[in-house]
Amino acid sequence: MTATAYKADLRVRSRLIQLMAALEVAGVTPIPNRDLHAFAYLANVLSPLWEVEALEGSVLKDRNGPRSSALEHELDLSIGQGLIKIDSLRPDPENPARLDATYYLNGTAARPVLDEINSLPDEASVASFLNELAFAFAEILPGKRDDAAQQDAAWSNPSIASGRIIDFGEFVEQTRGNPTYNVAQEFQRFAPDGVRLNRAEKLLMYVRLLKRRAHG
Amino acid sequence: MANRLGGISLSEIEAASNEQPFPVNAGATPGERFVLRISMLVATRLEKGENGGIAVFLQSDALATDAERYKMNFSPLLANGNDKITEKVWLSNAVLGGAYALDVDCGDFGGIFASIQEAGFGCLPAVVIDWRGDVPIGRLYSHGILELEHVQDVEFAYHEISESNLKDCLDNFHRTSLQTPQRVREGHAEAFWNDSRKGWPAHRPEERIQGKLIQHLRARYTRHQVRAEEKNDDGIADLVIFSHETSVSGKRIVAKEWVLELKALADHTSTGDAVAKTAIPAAIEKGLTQAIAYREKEHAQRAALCCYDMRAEDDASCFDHIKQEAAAEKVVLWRWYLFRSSEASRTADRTDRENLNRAQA
Repeated sequence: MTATAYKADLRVRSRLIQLMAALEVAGVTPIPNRDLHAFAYLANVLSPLWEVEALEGSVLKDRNGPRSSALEHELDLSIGQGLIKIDSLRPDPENPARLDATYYLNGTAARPVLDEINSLPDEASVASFLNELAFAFAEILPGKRDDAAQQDAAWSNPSIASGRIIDFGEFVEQTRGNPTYNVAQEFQRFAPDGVRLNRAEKLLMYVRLLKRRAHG
Repeated sequence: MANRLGGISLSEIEAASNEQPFPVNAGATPGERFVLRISMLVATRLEKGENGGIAVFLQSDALATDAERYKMNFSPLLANGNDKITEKVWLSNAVLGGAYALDVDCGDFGGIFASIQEAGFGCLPAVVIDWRGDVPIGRLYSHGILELEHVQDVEFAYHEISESNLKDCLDNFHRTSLQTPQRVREGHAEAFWNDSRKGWPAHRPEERIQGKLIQHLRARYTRHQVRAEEKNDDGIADLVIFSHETSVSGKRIVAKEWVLELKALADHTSTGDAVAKTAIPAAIEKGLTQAIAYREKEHAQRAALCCYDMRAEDDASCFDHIKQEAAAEKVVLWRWYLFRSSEASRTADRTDRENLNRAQA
């Protein structure tokens, strides 16, 4: 493998550290690999609600749930650098050929990096969005968090078959062609009289809808 | 046309909306959630008869790393309220999802802060509960116990918020977060000034003040809820403080105690254009009208017009033209001055002292 193949993508890396920091604050760590990808996916599809840039505007609809190879790559590098620590490593119960790891943020190493990232005004907004999402995500039972992501409006869109690409912001307009955003906005229609929902309320109500679907 | 709502139907959204309680804590910062969790825990411990001693809660943003040295002292179920909380220094996260007791002698009141500092946690947000009397008294050190001037009261018991109590809270907010540009930076707040020396405010300063103030109110009034209205185009921001009560017939009701209309007074726009002198009295008058209308709309008991004065001159007469109407409508008028530099603030303090000395002489 050449050095180029391991080239770091700082944009993805910084978002990964922010994702992990938000999960840490909300007490959702150590987090299994699948749940981390589920959280990252929800952050992407819900990002227009906060007017922050999504890390990725599309995803492969895989039967195992959302997964980002760019994020996975940076996760490996961040573990190597000591920014993220592995808490446990065991065979994946659903696929014994794979190893299932749980992770947590190494606060000592990551804090100075986070301070730099969050000192940028746009990134401070990303951090507040991810905190809000992490607190909502924490309400979903630990075993159901990856299921909840698959209950998402864009992911569960029946017109997109498994193995196809879900585009929620790459070639479609994020605030029009993204079913997740559209559903979150629809909560206003059912809000109590005189109440204008703010974005945090819409976000929480949306994640609770996913929780309701995942918990059955 | 592609399915606009993807795999979720409108009827499902409606059902979910009707089923779930209104998300009152949505938008709360990790620090606010931390204080609210502690408040709930204190209420449970109060019911179970706990009192006596001191308890300190430290909020970590990376608990697993910070607690590595204290693994033996882990209380996974502390938030349930079955464990005694006093006479311990607890290290936890915003949701109290388990807590670690530090090795600190809480019998030595004077040494508690020094021990926390020695453990390397002097910068973590801290809630200190003094439970030596019948009622627990809470104080939040939002920047940690190393910065003692950033402290505010935390009220664990429910009581209706009086005018003087609210004024005290808002004065504290002004003193710790707004009074000078330096304070704004220390408060980690979004900048309220584009250029404080020139007197140019940031774009829509009311919204920025609102965002910071809501955190301050939530941290103090832990038995109340605080909600912000969506922004409007008038340069006026609203906050409502309410509580969930039970009526005499047992019905669950929402008691709205205060609506606050926030208004920033500036003599320049964010891009440096001068604001016409007549615009300020008109804006204040409009703020009063909004306060009255908002109180009626919300069925709230009381209303206050809170003006944050960013003008060059510290002019307390800005309410003169509405005082009578405000008194008749029972709307409280409050104003705080935002100095453009720390030197200006010190000069004003010195002048105040000199005037006081002259008056006393």
